[in-house]
Amino acid sequence: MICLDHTSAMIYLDHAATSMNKPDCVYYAVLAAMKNAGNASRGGHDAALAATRILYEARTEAAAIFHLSKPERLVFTANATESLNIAIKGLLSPTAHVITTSLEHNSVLRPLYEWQEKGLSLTILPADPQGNISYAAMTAAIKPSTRAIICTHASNVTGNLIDIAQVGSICKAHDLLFILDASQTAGIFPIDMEKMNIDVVCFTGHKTLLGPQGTGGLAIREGIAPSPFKSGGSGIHSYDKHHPHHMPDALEAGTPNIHGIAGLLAGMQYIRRQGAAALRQRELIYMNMFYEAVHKLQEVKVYGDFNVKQRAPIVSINIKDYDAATVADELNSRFQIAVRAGAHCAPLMHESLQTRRQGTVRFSFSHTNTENEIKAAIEAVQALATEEPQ
Amino acid sequence: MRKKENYYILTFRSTMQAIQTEKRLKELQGPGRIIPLPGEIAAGCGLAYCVVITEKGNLQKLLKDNQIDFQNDYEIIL
Repeated sequence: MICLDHTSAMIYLDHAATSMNKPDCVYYAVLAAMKNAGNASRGGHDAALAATRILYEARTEAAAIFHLSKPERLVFTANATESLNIAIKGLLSPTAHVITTSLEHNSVLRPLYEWQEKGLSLTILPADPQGNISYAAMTAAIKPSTRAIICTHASNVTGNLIDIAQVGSICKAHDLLFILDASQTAGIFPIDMEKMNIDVVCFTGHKTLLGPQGTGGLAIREGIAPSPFKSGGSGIHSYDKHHPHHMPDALEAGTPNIHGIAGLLAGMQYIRRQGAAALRQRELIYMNMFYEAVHKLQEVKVYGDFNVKQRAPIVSINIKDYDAATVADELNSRFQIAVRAGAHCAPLMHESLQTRRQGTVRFSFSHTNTENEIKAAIEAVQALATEEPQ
Repeated sequence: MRKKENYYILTFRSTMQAIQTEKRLKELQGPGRIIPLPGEIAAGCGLAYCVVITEKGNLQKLLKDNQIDFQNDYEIIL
């Protein structure tokens, strides 16, 4: 048995990696599904129907978050990486030109690099030292062969947002696909596929949406049809040699993670009940409280653009020339504060911020944190920054 | 086993459509329930919506009045 007792005293500030201390309804929903749900879409007995109804409710709830009018176009996957792989590998071709940004996570970059090796032409928009991209440069990069713009909604290193309404307008004006990585924002920041002209939204279930790990999905606008990369059991048309072509079954071969999806449904319903704007505001209050205190410290460097009001609740810092991993280890071992150190799977961002060697210490906040936790984190950073080396 | 009877059933393109219909008809307090798709019907998803034949007219009216979508309908002895 792995000991999990560490969580009781810990101050968890690594919500950009995965949300912890989720609402109780999420845990109970997973347990209830494990006790009561059969295999969704496989059979008509009460347990199978219970699972199928969970899947339906979760699909409808998630579709509403992204303003996707047809819930059948919401597909569940294991995580954002799988969603991005389905979209990127299933919608592009070797002859295409694609634009992306230096803010991206490897789950966008690596599938694109694979395409690049097969002939695809790739433009990666650089970020300035504050971690922002230029929309004029984005427009200027468009060529006759450009097929898509693929970008994140928020940098998982700096918390800077990309203006997705503006990217959507650029895509609409030039008839380009817009694939969005909403890993850091889904459910908490507004994403309207219709108004913002987004073709595919890829999301994970275990971060802002408060669900369990192993859940995620993609919302796909009508008329967009990624080629499936898996086929198999669907629970329907069993005598057909081909996997069903209709949505969502076309992209959901195999038994879905109903236990996880039940938890995700509970997380999404919790957000709806609380109100995304209220939760977002609380997160930004915590982020600003932390930022205002630490950025004044001479020994601390903060990365990202804090002139804008709307940003993901992330503050990446470094203390003097200490390796980020050393700082994170001190925070964990001396102060029981959990943060993430290193490259955060976003290598190009560190080129822009010139933190490739040092990495960054990332504090990421949630509405489930408390003011006292933020105060403790501030005091810990102050102590590490100002004390004499011991 | 119970005695065989005549039923009116609906089939669907996907299980999602079946559950959507079930939910809608429940809200409308309509008759019937979801059953596993009878083997002799080759098309559709693995679920069907079923009412006893005497409720056929009621169900059809609800489906029409509320524009509830399905794939096919059958009368079948089960």
